[in-house]
Amino acid sequence: MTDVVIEAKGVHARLGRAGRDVLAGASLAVRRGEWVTVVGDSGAGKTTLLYVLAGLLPKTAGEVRYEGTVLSSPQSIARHRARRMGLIFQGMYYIHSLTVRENVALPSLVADPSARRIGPAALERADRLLERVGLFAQKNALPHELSHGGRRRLAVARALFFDPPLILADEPTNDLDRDNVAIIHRLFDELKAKGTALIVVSHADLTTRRGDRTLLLADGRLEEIEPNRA
Amino acid sequence: MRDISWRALWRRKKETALTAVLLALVMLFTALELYAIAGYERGIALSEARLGADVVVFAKEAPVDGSAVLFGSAPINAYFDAEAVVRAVERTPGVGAWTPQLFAQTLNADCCSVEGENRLVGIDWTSDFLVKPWVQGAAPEVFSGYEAILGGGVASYEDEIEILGAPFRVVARLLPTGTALDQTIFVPLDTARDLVAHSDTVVETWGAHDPERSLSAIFIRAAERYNPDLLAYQLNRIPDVSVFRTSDVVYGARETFRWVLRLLSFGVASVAVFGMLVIVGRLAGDVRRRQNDFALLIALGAPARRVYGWLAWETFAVTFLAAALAAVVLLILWPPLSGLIESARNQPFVRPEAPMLVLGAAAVVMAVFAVGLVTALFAARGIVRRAAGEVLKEEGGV
Repeated sequence: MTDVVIEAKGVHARLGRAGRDVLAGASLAVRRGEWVTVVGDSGAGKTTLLYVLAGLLPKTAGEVRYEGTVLSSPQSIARHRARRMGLIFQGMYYIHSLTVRENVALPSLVADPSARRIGPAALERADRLLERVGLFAQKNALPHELSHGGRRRLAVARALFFDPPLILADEPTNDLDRDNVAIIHRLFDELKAKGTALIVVSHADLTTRRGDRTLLLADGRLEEIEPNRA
Repeated sequence: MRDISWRALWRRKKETALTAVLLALVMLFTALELYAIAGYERGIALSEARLGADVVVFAKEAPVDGSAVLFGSAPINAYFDAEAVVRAVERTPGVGAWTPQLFAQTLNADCCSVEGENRLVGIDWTSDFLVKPWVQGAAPEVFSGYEAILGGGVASYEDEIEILGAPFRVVARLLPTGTALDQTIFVPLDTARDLVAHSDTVVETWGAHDPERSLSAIFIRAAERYNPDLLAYQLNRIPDVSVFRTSDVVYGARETFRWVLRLLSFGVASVAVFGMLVIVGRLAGDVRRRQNDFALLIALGAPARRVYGWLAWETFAVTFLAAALAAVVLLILWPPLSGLIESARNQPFVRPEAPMLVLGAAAVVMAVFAVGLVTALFAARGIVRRAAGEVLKEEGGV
């Protein structure tokens, strides 16, 4: 089994039909237990890079290998994404009509094509994750009833539902207070220690300093830089 | 995805309720319009098929037209001398069969133990060919004394009724005909004469007429292969009576009905178009408002069919809820609504049969469900066919 969890080679991606190439030959490889931080100016294409790696946006050229395998169809990428990737979006995306614990357990429903409901085992798993992120007391609240930091932690808990080998996080500590940032960093440290690979897009210096490597996205390409330069 | 569907409906109570109310209103209006059309069509068809008489001889002084006699439930207290007219009718060539009737008065709950307003009509059972064909089950062989036959629209479930203070035994009930028969209580001719002789409603008439020797109408069937127009022409020569062809009345009613039908059809079309716009606008907007939810499912790895499944269940549930709501409202409002629709007594209206009503209601519900489902799935298609990342980037999170 390869140690590389995700590898991108010469990836190109375009925004809009006649838009510019946001990614123009971006390449990276991330190993188990590695925390890679991607930085770049606003509009440089950091979110686009994460979405292309997750298969949420199409690439126009290049290749992405997931645990050593090229997944050609969107369906196969989606199946892989359901269990083998944890996504933490920059925006707060939830099913608004589900409670906090149901939202955290949502991946169980998505990953099992025959599942009609979120089962008790999935809800128990969600409860444990909510304890880890400090949201257990609010497990029956609706997402909009949580604070900004609470919602961000909810997203982290959901991304960890299947204990995936890869976490893709888009500015996970953006707009958070010091306490919430600390909670999320502690979680990421734990994940990294367990062998989870992390790709974290961030503006924040704190986050940048915590990564094993920092990649600068500029002109559609990724370039490795010293951690403290960003 | 049923689980998510239920939760989404339950936890968005206001939105769900509004959608259900809108769908229920569309169902109600469409169903009522269709009910009216079906009832009028059935009434006309039955009238044509079952009138029984070709020509009706009627007192000249009666200030009414033929449709009031055939379709109306108001009493027409006009009388002619029976002996002279019957003799003339019997002498007229082309008369195949004839039967006399005596119109008494309108009965209501004040005077009688039957609900609503009904005509009291005396008939001669021996010669009758108008009432007998409509008797539910076997027609009684003898009809005399204080016996009564109730029209198909007379609301009474008792076998003993009271008419103008006298007890009557109900010996038969009629099928609905779409004609005045439906709101008529038939009693034997002699009994009707006894009743009418002492009736406050028509007692002033008896200065000029003798109730024992009077009739209101004679219904005549032309002899086989005899031209009813020619028969009507010849009967017109009898003094003190007017004559009308029943086919002319039905034709007139059909003409009137065509106009009503055009109005109703326009109403149905308007309701259908407006209803579709309401459904499309409401459901498409609802899906569009929640596009982040659906894009999130896709982003988490769900195939598109699960989003469709979610919306299909949701549409099914909200349509079912709307149908239940519409049914409850209909049950509550049915008495005044049915009265409103069926109140045009001079127009033939026969309530469609129960299986037809059930099928019609089911068709309306299915149509609303189909429109809702197509709308929801089409709106979702616009989301799931795009790259999930594109949708999420466009909307931003909340």
